[in-house]
Amino acid sequence: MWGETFDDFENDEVEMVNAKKNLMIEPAHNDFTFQGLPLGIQPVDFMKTHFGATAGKSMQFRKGTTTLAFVYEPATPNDKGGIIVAVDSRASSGEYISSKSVMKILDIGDRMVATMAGGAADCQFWTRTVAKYCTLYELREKTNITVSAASKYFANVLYGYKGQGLSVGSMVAGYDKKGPQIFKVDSEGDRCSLKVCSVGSGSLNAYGILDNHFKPKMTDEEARKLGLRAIMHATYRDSGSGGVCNLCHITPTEKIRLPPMDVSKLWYEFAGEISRDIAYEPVE
Amino acid sequence: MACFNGITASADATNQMHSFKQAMREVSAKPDWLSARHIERQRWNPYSMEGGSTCAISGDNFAIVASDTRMTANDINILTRDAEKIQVLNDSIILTTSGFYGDVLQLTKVLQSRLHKYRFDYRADMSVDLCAELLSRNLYYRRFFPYYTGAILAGIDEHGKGAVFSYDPIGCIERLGYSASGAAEPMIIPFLDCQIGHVTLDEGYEKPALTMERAISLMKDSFRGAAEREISTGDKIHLVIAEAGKPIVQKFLPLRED
Amino acid sequence: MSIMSYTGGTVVAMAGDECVCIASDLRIGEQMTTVATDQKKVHKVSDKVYVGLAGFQSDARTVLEKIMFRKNLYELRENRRIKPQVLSEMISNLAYQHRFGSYFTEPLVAGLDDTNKPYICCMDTIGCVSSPRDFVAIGTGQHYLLGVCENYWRENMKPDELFEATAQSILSCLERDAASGWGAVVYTITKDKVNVATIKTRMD
Repeated sequence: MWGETFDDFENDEVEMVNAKKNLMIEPAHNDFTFQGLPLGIQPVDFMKTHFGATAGKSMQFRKGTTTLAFVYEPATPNDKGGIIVAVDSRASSGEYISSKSVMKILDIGDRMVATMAGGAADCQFWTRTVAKYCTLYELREKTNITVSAASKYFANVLYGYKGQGLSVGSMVAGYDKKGPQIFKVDSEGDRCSLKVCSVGSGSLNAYGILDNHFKPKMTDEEARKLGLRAIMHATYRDSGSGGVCNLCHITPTEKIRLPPMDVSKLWYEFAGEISRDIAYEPVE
Repeated sequence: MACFNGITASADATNQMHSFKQAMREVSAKPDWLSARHIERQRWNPYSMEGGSTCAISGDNFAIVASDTRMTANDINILTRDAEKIQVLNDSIILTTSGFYGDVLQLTKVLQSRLHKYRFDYRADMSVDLCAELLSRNLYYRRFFPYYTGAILAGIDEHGKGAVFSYDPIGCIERLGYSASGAAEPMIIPFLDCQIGHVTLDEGYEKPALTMERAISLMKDSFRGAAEREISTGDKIHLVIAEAGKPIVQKFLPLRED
Repeated sequence: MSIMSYTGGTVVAMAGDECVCIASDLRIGEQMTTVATDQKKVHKVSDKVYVGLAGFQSDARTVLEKIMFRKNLYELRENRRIKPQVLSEMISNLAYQHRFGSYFTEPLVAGLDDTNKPYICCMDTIGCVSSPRDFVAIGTGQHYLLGVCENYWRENMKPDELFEATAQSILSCLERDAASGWGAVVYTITKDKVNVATIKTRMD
């Protein structure tokens, strides 16, 4: 059967069906394994020694984030409703800001996104693995994958590496046949469905704003503003977050990525709004 | 014998669970078979740090890459004054790495062989975008025993634009306008932020365009500044210039030697 | 995270032609959390002598009190204005007295002496003075500043040039240092007057 294609079975329908069945069978488990450390070396300690706070600035892994997502219903018939996903864009190694423009909303297919918090490389790599799984699933099953299934696969993969030092805090958000869904997945193997959710070093600050201003029914404008506002306040208080606010609005029909907004500019706008005096007068 | 009689039993069970978890933690952190020799081996260090810095700037139709050529041991002993930290992988891809030189060589070799295989399979040179993803994944494949390197990949992409990709040691990838890596990264980057990113200028000010001449002189300035203050950077600047539609040019410029 | 970067903060000083500039950020944090954004780390000691204290701010406050005490005592006893050179020696002494249990703060002195010659110096936590002729930086943003200042400093800058160089340097530094920022203040000390300017920075 080696090297066969669909063309070889043009005349024989039964064989064609069988061949299709064989080719579309669930892919065998990948036998790839990561190269590990020699026996007896604990990965977590090893990483801490060589890539932890004592390592040089360019040797530390990039991390630190505020990400948030929430589900809302449209307040008026003109609004679309759906999910707002908002994130900052800073990657830091210790106190050093290694990047100010990271895209922390990663695509999984064309209806779902995953946010990235924790180790940047871990999130980028495993999100792509999940995306690959989802694409294969959809080709195989000829149906859209649910957010629940995608996130469960994600959580299972992460659970398999539990205790080995992965650091991932991700929200898988999207629209499927059950409606808008957000699942929070982390490297401890946790997975839970939430309506209002925030992950990362600035998440508590973001929750403060979200809990105060979130309403189940909002206009699109209100909802987007709330996302921006929560990220802006989180970046103000948390030194691990900053840069620009990237926002993604997932409606029942489409995924809208809004242009990045500078959080520092947002803060000055906000300070103007509440007429807060931003001038600092030093006293001797 | 455990028996269930109300609150005491459940408190007992909680305590037992707690001590079980404690014991579990202890035994997994320090298993019985882990002798003193094993614990010593926990501090096993397969890496060394050869210092040095590299930097890359991309423009509309060019990408320039520079690194110093000093190789040091323990930040004070100079091993050689003309180490090669930049590898030209093909006509449009340049890899530059700092960190542990053994891993630098290994990483270069891995990429070179993959590029060779690609040329064999597809009868075309790999583009820099593809190579960037390839490098990212190869770095991540060593997630639990990482390459001790800070890599930057630069080149000319399929649209003839300059491209710079920056990585952390385990393959977090990002396409940027300019990037630096190595010991002097914290000294070079803020300077480039100011001069190329114009982050300190308010809107409405005139911002000079990034020509190749300007990029090269900024590169020289930033290395001169870094060599002044950073001990593992110095000797020579290895400058590699890739311009769309032109062959890659390599130059060596003098730098502090003390 | 080490105690030296617990509260964050950065101070820089540059010397020019009969003028010096000293600048600091305004942030106080508790590790990752920003607590206050109106705490300058530059303090006036005498008319043309300023001291900057970066590092752990609780210690910095204590050290500042002790510096002021010693400086006041000096001025009463000697009946003359303190020179920056004298002040730095005094602070160095104070720091070394606590050699085996040091204050977690790095002092920096900038000022003009009697002949209006600029003087700048910085120390480590136990008082090793280094007094270059160009610029000094301390705090969490030290490395960023040293790299940037190296490219901006010129010989014999006039006050307005010096201000511009210092402001640009600290702004570039704050851009990459997560532990400091949230506003900055620049003091330009010339022989006639001291000019104070607060600059708008990123608030993240």
